[in-house]
Amino acid sequence: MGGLFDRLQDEIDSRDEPGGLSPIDLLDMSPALAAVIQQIIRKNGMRLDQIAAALDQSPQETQKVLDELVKKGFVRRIEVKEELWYKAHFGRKADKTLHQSVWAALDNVVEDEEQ
Amino acid sequence: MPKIVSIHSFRGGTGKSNTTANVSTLLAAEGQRVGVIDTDIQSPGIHVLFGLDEDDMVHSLNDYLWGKCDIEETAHDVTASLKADIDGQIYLIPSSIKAGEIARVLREGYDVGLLNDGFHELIEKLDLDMLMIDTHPGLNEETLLSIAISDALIIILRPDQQDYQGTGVTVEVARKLIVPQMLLVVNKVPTTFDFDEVKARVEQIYECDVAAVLPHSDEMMALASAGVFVLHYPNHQVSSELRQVAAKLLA
Amino acid sequence: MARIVAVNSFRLGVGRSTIATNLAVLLALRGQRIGLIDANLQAPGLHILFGQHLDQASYLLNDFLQNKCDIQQAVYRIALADGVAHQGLLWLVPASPHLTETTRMIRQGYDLDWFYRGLQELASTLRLDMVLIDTQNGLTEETLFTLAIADVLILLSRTDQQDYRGTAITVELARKLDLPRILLIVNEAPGTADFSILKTQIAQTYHCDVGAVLPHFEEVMALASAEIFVLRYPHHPLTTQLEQIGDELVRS
Repeated sequence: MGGLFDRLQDEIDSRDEPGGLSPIDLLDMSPALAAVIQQIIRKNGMRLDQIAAALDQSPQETQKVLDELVKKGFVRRIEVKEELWYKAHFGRKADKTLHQSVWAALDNVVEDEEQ
Repeated sequence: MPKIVSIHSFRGGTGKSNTTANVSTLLAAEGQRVGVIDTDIQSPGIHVLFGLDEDDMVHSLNDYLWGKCDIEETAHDVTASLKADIDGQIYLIPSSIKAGEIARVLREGYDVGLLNDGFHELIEKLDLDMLMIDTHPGLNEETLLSIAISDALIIILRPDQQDYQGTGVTVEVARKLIVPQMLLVVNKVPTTFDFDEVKARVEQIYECDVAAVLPHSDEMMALASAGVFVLHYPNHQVSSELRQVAAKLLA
Repeated sequence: MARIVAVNSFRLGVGRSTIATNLAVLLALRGQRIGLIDANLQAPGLHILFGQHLDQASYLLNDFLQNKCDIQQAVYRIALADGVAHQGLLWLVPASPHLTETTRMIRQGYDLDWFYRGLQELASTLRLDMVLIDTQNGLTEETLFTLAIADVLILLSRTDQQDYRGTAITVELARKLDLPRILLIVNEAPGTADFSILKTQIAQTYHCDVGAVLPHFEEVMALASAEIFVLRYPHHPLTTQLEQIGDELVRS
């Protein structure tokens, strides 16, 4: 169950961090940023050299974009076996507020189900 | 190389889940190891087509998203339930149909990043050739995510003004997200329509390959989500059109 | 205050927009003052059905919700057929189908109280008898709110297995919200089904009145949302059935 706890820790960590990427952000990102982040999402994490190679860019160019994405909170740096990997950091799907009566009604539905 | 395929429609009632189930079955019949994941958490349904009901569901995608289990524990091998001679394998990852769990998703949301992790872990752990993502219709975070990571996108539409408009939006999005392969499937076409004309017109409007034009079928309606069409009616026009879709994915 | 009629379905593609539009038109044709709201902001479609009736629409519901205009500026009177004896009036509040607007709605949603106030203002200014709201499908925050404020719920379902569960949840929830009247409509029933048996079965399944079982009609598909069905086919069985539903709404 090692993988599960790593993931839970990941989730807890990401909850503490503000912001994060929403897939909707992909639609209004500049092409340069979008190209990098899409590689990262598609492969679910990549190293700098891999991203640069995929986009046929110099590592320096790619590094600049990555730094900007990290600053925006869209990408996180993770150390995997002493290597630096980049992974997309998604924000939690937004909690939304509802009127009290509606939540109460929903709670009742949930309670009935659990009985 | 494993392939991620999203099946999407902008509007509902296009026959998307049916198409997903049928194309997945055809791919498995070609010997492929196919994962089918129902990401329509709000209104899950593809499990019905594979004969999986609430009692059969050990774990659902919901359990994984709430950290109760690993993703591979949510995979149900439904190949045998098809009761057909199939070389490949179909693994279904269903979404929960319990009212309380659907309500919980509405209330608490979930981690989109976990969903993305799940897609990739599934391919790895189950050694999949294809991962078919059955999306919720319309544009939302989940569908945008699946489109963004997909190697192929199948968009299903009916020859209806509302569908045309919605498909235009979806194609616009798919082009922005640079999806490598995009296929259109025009479904539920009245038999009074000229099929060649429909195909030509749709290809022209969206500048995109139309993989199949499917007639509105009484048999399909009667089957009403109870089973997989291509297994019941393998020689029907609809089945041969769907084979074309599978072929394009395998090409 | 005008009666608020929510038109909802659990799943997509059940024919909600088509039914809401045609009902609104029929009610207006029988003398009712009707407001029709496209509250399906993530994927609006009423403007398509009314395409030929709408001139350059400038302000839309989205603009009102972002406080860029008054609600009166986002409402459009729909001209209906001539030569009808007691002609009511139909007003449409359309929503924007553009990607930037729909993604904004997905991301942020909108202020529900503001929306409700807009409806109240519209109802009073135009002296409406009914406000028909074409909701988003499913039990989203917005639709739940609409159920909470509605006097009548028209709930659409198809005969798919996939529809039953979600529709049942909606009925249950509507009851808990003390929604005064729930009218179930089964749409796109296959021609092979026995409708009276189906009607009984469904009423039993949901413990709810079934307003109508509407069969699948090729003509609806063939019309392909390019026109308003009841105006094109005023004597069609579907039109007759929708008129009966209209009767129920006016009576109750």
